[in-house]
Amino acid sequence: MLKPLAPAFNQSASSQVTPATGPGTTITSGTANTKGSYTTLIASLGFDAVLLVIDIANSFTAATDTSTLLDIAIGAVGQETAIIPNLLAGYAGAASEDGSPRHYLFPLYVPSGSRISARSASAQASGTCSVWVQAYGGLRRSEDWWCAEQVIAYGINAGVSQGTNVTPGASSAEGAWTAIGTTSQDHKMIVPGLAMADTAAGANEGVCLDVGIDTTSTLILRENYRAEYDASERLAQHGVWWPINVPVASGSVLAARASVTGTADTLDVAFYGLS
Amino acid sequence: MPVRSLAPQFQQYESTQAAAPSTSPGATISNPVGGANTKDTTWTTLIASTAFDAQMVLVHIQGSAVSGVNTSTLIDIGIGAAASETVIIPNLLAGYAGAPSAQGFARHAMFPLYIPAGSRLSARSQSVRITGSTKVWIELLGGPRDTAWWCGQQVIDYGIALASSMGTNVTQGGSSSEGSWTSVATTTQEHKALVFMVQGSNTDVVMQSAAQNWDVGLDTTSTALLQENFLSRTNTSEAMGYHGLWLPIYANLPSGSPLAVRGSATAATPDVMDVALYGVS
Repeated sequence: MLKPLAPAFNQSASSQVTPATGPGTTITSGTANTKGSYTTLIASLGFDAVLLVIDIANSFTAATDTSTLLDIAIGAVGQETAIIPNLLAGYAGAASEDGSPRHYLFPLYVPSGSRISARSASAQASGTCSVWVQAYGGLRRSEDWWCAEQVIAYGINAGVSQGTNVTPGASSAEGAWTAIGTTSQDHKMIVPGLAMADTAAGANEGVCLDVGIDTTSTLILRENYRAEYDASERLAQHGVWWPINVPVASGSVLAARASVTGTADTLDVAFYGLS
Repeated sequence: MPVRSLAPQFQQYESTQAAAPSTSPGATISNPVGGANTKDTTWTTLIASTAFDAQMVLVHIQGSAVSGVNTSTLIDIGIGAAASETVIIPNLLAGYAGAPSAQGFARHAMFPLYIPAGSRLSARSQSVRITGSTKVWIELLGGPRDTAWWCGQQVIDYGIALASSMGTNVTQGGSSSEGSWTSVATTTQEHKALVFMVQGSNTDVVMQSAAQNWDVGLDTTSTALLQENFLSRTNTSEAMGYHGLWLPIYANLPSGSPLAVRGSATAATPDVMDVALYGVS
């Protein structure tokens, strides 16, 4: 199985370059459910990146709908183009000694010299979240790592800054499969997004999220993405949420189901197709 | 353009964690009662038989921290049948890891490492404590359509102090200034990837609420940076978690390379912390 190749990534850049108890750049939304202005994360990328890691924190407020959609863009000021649209970014707690709450891992090509920026929409006017981006690149053999050139979001409900609501099964029982969206292109990877959609969660609950195709005779793509939420309406991923690396044809019905350890509170799901 | 029409890298996945939600995922790896700073003679099974050839190993660690206590711990990941285990990932820094919560999961390490199908994976601990435990959970990724993903067959630890279940102490720079480069070890083999880990230090069991930023380089004098900005956070209950994803450092490192680490912290007088590096070849 082994090849004597040079390693995969030998260049990196980050929008967070100093220690911080609250890492990330604050992104402020516009009026309720309206995208705000772009804020620069990396002024000029020094290499061709083939992997972006996006970390999100600090969007939650207890007992409040903090549903948030985050766009990651490239381009000069005033000429931004969203390359990763509508990431679920609400209900994220603060980064702490427990780790950091939420991340997305996108094998995505971003050319050298790009300015990377972010903007958000929130259910709350002037809602905020903290975002930091790490970019990796510098492949010695570019054919050894597949990366995408485009990301399409599925299941987004922009009118309320949410994805698609999913009712999990309670007491560790599997919930029903819920259709999130039908793919409009062939994709080689799917990145899952998860947030809450309940402003009155009663307790800490562990979560498992499964991803599949078709809600009736479901082909499971990946089981057991893990998370936890609490009664302060914070949700964090547990472990590394690696993308689902399976070719998915255009016209596929992406579906999600979830289970929680105790009482079921409504969750919010979106998927991001890479092609 | 670096884009190819290949199938993606990993299409298979398995986990040590059963298919049920949990607020505290992971298998409990107890510290050996037989003695401090001594390897347990018992291994705990994580996966009885792996289902495919894996090329990426994600190790998650939580639950070892105890307020006001030195919890320096080293975890070995083993491969092989019961009583015939061989260490494949040695001496992971596992102490001072807090419990998972709705704010995150404490620690992870990502190893591009080959594990053949049918393997039994297990773990054991050594710690300064003869009570307590660490929770460990492993995810495996594999199944690419071709062999394009580089992965190693061996992991060597650098900077480990077995006698105290520690790594190498690093004094960070205070008030966010860079500290001095600290020599961790000199590589004994050629490596193509390095994995970086941090835990608290048993020279300091009164930690501060502070954030840290770690850099890894070669040579403590004319240092070549390998990777900057590994972020972490400590609290006053002696728990430490990573912020963001700590990917492996990919670089062609010849044998004899002097590995070095420096850190900066938000605290004016930072806590001494404990680092180690793991070379993959």
